[in-house]
Amino acid sequence: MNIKIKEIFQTDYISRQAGEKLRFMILKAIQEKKKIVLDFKDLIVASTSFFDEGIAKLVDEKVSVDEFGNFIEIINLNKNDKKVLDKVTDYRGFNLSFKQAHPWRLCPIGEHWVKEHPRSSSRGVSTVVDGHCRKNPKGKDVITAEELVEIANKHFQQIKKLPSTKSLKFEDGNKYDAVIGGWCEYWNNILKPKIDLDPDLIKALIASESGFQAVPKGPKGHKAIGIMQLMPETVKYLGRNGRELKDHFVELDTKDAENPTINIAAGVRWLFRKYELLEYKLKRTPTWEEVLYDYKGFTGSKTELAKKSKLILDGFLKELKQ
Amino acid sequence: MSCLRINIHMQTFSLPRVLGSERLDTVLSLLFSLRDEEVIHVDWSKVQKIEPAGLAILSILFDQSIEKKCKLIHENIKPVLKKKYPLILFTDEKFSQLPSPMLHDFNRPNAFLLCCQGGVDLRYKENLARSFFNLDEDLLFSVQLVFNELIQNAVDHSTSERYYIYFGLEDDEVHFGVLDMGVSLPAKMEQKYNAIDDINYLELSLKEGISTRRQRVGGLGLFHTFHMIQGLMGKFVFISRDGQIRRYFSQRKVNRMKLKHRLNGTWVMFTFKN
Repeated sequence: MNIKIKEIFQTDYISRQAGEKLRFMILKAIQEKKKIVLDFKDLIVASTSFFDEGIAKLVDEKVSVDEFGNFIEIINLNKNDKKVLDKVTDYRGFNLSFKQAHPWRLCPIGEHWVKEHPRSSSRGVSTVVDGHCRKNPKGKDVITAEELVEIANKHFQQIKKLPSTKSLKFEDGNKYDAVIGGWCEYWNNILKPKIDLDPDLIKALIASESGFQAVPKGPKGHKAIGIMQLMPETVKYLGRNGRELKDHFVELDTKDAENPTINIAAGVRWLFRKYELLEYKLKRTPTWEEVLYDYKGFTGSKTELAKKSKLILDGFLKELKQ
Repeated sequence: MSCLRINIHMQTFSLPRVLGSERLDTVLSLLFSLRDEEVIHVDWSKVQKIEPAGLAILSILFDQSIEKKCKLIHENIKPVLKKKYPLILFTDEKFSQLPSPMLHDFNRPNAFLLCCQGGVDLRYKENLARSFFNLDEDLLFSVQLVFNELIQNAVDHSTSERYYIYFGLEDDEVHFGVLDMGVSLPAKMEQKYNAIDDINYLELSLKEGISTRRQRVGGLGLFHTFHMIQGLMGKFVFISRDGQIRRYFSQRKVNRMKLKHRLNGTWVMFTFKN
């Protein structure tokens, strides 16, 4: 049964009374084991009370997240309303399965993928445990290096938006196009920026950072890792212990980061974090080009090297756009 | 022949240059005096501008003067103001009881005022969609989030039955708020919580998990809403009974003051950079 929220809650879809009505509808569906679809089409709810009373408080009715997921589907929810719903459900400890991550993900949000690994029992018998999802104590979205590789292997053959086919005169210039397109699509879907990140920008960035070499040669003491030249500190910041991100963590170590597929995934994620920081700094929405300059450390820098590097990057961007 | 002279004490209040969320002392003093006076003179000679918050305040002044049976005599109103703001306050019509809330409604391309009565009223969404659709999507969402929370507060806690919603765009600033003249927030809060004064009751109401609700308990209060809008640069004015809080998000500054004249109601007013 499809419940159009706008029609059912015509005059009031913000109050706790309205939320209570929704909760009773959900409870009835679960008790009768009937599937219902809550359709939020053409509606901006913008109410903590409605979502709290209607959905988050199901936790007080002893409804499990699994039960909710089995019978209730939420569709056409505005991205800002989704944030409000996430916030109030997190507050009540009701981590919804509908917050199930991207369709490519192996685990729902709140769990992360652990690859196949050996386990020794107390009797000394060694067994192999299949890859499985493991719960995160705080219920946040965590993606591991193993899952990044799995996703790329399974889904990156059918990416719709790929970067330009121009190789920018590099031998491996087109080698990572699917990976670049794939991770741009993934993080655009997850983090929903006002303007989607264009894969061409990542291609130009990689060209300027490493020239598409998975292990680029650098001067002695050069610490940056892999194709997008991530700093070891950045790799740390992206994880749960990095104290930099609030959600959508990328859990990997410096060894994992050498893999170009993982490196690009992490680099694009870091670029989105740079976007947030720059937005705060500039007090306006930055352009993605400005974010690239910030990634490369050009913001506020007046050195000759910065000017030269900026020219090179702009050159690549221009060539890809032609 | 003896002559009987009667001295009638008549107060005159001079309104400030800009009627809005700033410089509220005169307006609050005037509102406070309505219950004790039969006639009050209101001098408009200094008034040059009415901000969106001022529209709501004037509607309240009008309604309160009828409820308190105090005659307001408006003097020295500039004709340009009357023309620009065709408010019920400026009409010559006499009302012996509160007029229909619809008569307060004010609609202009850059501002609107809605007087709502008898429960949750979401007409403001139509006004926003009609006149302000080109504002930033996230900003409009934050405005709705605040409106919805405040509308519920006005409906659930205030017994005034009437509340006033305003929204406007002026000098690249977004002004919006919800005002009511019901049971004040501290009066409602003190039924459930203990605080040393009204300023502390207002502060308490913004904290996590604080709610005066008796049915459907365990609300989230204003905390989550405020948490979500703190990223917007702007100002927030919160007045109820004897307390006043002015929070400046961009400067991370808060002014907490005792009001000189009690407000029997709750006014929450925001100003954000567009």
